[in-house]
Amino acid sequence: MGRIHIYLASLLASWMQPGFAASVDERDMKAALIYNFAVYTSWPNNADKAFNICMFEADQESLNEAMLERKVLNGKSVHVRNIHDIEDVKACQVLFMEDATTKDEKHLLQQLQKYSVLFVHNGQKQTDASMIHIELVDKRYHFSINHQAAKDANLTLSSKLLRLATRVY
Amino acid sequence: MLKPYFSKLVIRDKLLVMQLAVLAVAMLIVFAVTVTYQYLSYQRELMQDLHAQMTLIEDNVGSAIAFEDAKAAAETLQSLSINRSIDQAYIVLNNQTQFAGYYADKHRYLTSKEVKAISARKDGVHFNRPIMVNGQQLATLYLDANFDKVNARIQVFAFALFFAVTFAIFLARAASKRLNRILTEPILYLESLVTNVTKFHNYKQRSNIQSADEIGALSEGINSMLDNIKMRDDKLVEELKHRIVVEQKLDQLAYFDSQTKLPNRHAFTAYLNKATGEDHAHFYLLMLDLDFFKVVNDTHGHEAGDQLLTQCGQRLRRVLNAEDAVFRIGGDEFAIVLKAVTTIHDVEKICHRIIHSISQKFMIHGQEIHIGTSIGIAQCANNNCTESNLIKHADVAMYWAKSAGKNTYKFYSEEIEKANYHHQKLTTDLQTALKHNQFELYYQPIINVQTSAIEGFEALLRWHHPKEGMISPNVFIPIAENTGAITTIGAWVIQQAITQIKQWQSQFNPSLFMNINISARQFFDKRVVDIVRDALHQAQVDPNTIHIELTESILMEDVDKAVGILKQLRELGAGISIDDFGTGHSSMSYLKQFPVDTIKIDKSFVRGLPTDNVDTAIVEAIFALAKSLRFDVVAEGVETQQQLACLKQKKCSKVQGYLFSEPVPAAKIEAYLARASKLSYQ
Repeated sequence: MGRIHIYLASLLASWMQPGFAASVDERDMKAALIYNFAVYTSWPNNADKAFNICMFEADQESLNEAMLERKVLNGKSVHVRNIHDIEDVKACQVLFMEDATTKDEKHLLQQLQKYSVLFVHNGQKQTDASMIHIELVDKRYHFSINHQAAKDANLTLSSKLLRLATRVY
Repeated sequence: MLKPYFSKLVIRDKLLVMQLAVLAVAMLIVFAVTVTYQYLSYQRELMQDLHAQMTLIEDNVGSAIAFEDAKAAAETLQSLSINRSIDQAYIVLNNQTQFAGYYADKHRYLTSKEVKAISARKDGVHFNRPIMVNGQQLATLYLDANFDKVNARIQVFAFALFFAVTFAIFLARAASKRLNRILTEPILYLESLVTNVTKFHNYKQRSNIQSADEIGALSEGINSMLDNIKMRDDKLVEELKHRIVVEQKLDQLAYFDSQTKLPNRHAFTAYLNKATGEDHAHFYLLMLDLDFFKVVNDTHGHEAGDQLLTQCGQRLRRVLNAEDAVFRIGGDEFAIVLKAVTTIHDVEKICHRIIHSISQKFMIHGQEIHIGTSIGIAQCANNNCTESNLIKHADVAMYWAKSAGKNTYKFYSEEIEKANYHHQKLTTDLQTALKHNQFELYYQPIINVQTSAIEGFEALLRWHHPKEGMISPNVFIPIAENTGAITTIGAWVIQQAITQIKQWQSQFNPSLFMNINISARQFFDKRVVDIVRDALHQAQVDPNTIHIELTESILMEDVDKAVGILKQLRELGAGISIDDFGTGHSSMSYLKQFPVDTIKIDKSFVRGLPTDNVDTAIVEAIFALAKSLRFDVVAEGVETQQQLACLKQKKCSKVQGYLFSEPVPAAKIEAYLARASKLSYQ
């Protein structure tokens, strides 16, 4: 679909809620990205009352959690949860992981597919388990989508999202 | 303005014009409604398209905004390019910054001012719509569109529709023309039928239109009207024929004489009136009167008279040409108009034929009847004849013919009529001349040749007509004889002459004698002897001094009667003179029977004396005869001394003539006698 130019700072401040406006940095940008990915994704079993965005403890500081906590998605309030173990993934709708965090990828993949968790990965290195991979290029975050992985996890990504991805595979 | 033009059109064209006008109005309305509807449809369609596109944009552009992908948003907006009505579309973020835009005029960069100007365009449409993502407005989509495309489309549509409508009108015109012909043809047919009927009065024509509509009814109406007219016409013709027959009968009655089958007086008047009125009219009118018809009527009866008339009519018709017209104009009067003849000679020939034809014997009831006819002819020429004059002239001429002894013809002439009129006038005046003392006796002395003394006089009657003066006895004596007035006039002459001579005898010389002329009619009147006797008696005059002068021809009319009368006169004592001796046809043998005393040699013989040998010889012979028969001789008309000398030499005893005196009134004679006696006494 083409490249994505994501403007930082002022742009984010404009189209995100006023909460984002205060400090615009990578944490905010990532929080906004994750929220937007959630907006354009459909989950198969949507019985949970809360919408949980999970991170491993190692990635705790990489997102502006407070910003996300204020959000509501499809009538559900967004919660940011820190998990310790791959098994905890089952309560999550979105898993965000930084490049540095190392885990049993295979197991993780299984869990993700099992519980239909959207896995957003940031970093240079790509993982087979990640469904959306974000990468900072020239102060802008680009993202690519592993559509097959998402489908394997029974997640439906909006075509609009697919269209905006730098690469879909 | 168009009304007079429209009223001149034939029905077919009127109908067409009206149909086309109605169609045009209808088409105009349809056109207007359709175009309007179509325009609104196009607008609505545009709106719907715009809304749909905006929804699509809104749907698609949200993610791009969410991910700040302005290029993707611009690409999405670019999809609007398929709709050419869209001028521009742009996305403005909540912070009023423009995120992405689409501009139809992509070849140039629009300034923000131009963008605003487009948004403010009054003739365009302007939309704005919030772009929501997950229930939150991220931005606003602005879209400006124009109606140019709609207008262009509607123009094309209107143009096409206009052509369609025009074509439809053309088709309708062609169809209407055909349909109108179907409708108007019967009307035209009826119109031409009625025109034909009116023009040629041919009421036998019928309309053959048979339809159940009003034209059918009209056709039927015209047919029944024509039937009625035809019926009436036939009736009229029948009536006219009848009337002509009746008129002919009436004409026959009015213009024809039933007895002779000839046209009657009525027809004659009409015919003559017409003939005289014609240019260069030249014809002859013959008026015929049957002679002795009254006698036939009286002796053989009216029936015979009628048959005679019928046969006369047939004979007249036979002797005339076909172009000559014969009319029976009265009891025994016929009129003939000769148009074919040109000369009087031709007319005379026809008159001879007519007279000859009528004078042939008629056989009626086995009896021979002879009649004649008198014809008066008047000529109409030079256009100056009138009907009444012509009839009058022909009538006058007919009476002349009758007077001329019947069975003859006379042409009318104005001179004769004038003379006749004069004659008639004198005849009338003569009746009263005696009463009015217009007669006077003049006396011419008779002279003794030896002594030159007056021995006696010849009394000569003079008529002093109050208007015409002295009228000669040669003129009025024949009239008086014809009318019978001579008897009374003659009696007056005898009395007057005898009275006069008595007076002169007693006054001058008792031997003076008076010669009195007596005309034939007077002479044969049995009263003449009585008149002479009474006069002699009354005047107490010596009868020997009265000589009755008679002409030879009077005596020869009826010799026996004349001898008787002469003898009676002689018995009275009067002498008898034969006047104008030698001019009549006296027989010498008769002469010796007449008791004559004197013969008077006619002045025609005296005039030749003494030079004319024949006259001299005759005079000598008369003297010889007189001498042997012992008649006294008086020579009349002595005018010269030579004549007197000659007579003297031949022993003539008495003369009279202008040499001595013309006939003069009594007063002159008296004066002369008085003078003579005075001389003799001296």
